[in-house]
Amino acid sequence: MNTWFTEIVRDANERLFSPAELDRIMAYYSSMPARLKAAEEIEVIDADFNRNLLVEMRKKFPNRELYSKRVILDLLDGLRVLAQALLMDEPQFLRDRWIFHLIRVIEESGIDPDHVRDVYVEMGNVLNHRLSASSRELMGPLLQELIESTSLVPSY
Amino acid sequence: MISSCLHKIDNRYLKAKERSDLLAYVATARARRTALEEVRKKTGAAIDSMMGEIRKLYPQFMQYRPHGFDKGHRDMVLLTSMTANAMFLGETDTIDEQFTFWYRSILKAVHLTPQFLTDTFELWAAALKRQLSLDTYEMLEPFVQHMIEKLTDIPAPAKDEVGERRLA
Repeated sequence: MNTWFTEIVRDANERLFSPAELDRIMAYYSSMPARLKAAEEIEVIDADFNRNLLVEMRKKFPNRELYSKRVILDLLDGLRVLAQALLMDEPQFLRDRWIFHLIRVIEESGIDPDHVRDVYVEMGNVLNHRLSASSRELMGPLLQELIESTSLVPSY
Repeated sequence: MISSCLHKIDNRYLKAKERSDLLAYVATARARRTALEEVRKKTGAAIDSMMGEIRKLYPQFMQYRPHGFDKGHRDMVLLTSMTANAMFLGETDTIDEQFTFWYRSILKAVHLTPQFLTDTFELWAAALKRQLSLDTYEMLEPFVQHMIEKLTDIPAPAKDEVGERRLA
């Protein structure tokens, strides 16, 4: 896929980057240390999710059969795509690589969308609680879009 | 640098080395931009100067290619722009995919001799070195050398279409 960054690079074929293009890239570069820090924080939480999230979800919803190790691993794949989109400053990357796929899987599999939504909401709650304020601010719109995407499939 | 690093990670987080490389690169971004802006201002003078020298070195070239020097001037400006962009991005993969391999095919197709190309690109590097500040040229030089290496790696044509090489 083409991110805004690769589009700028591609469009500058046979000419120097324009001042406006450089301004956009420089603004992104100045945010890079904060993006790297946020991705590192997410990585730490990812490891904890891998250990604890399944237990938490089963405790909260003992009668739901959806929550399995496989579902948690799938969710963590989504979290890694989110971290990559955050590093790229590219929400479209999250949509193309995860959200469209997630919506389709929920639609096709017959899983109750509320059950999927709840595990994403739980992940969001933990992230919002544990991330630093600057990381939360950077990740907020992506996380919100990811969680809201699970509501795009009508509940049973 | 950024693009190649962030696109190659797939379903994983960055390694410590990748993070430190990215931080080191973005720390130099302001200096890279300053260098690119200097290239923007001085490309015209540098290319005018080197084209004057190549005209003297190959006085018969226009007999083979009447518009060769004009097109050459345009191409050297383009080459300088792409090289400066690569310097700003801190990597050569993108410029090679986008420009270098295509341009090497063009050079091969127009039957320029390896000596003509070596002379042209050495004069190009020397003109940039003369026109640019030391800091800017030092930043640009690895990318200039990369382009010279790639663009002179062309087999000798069956027929010479550049004419006599006349040393002053």
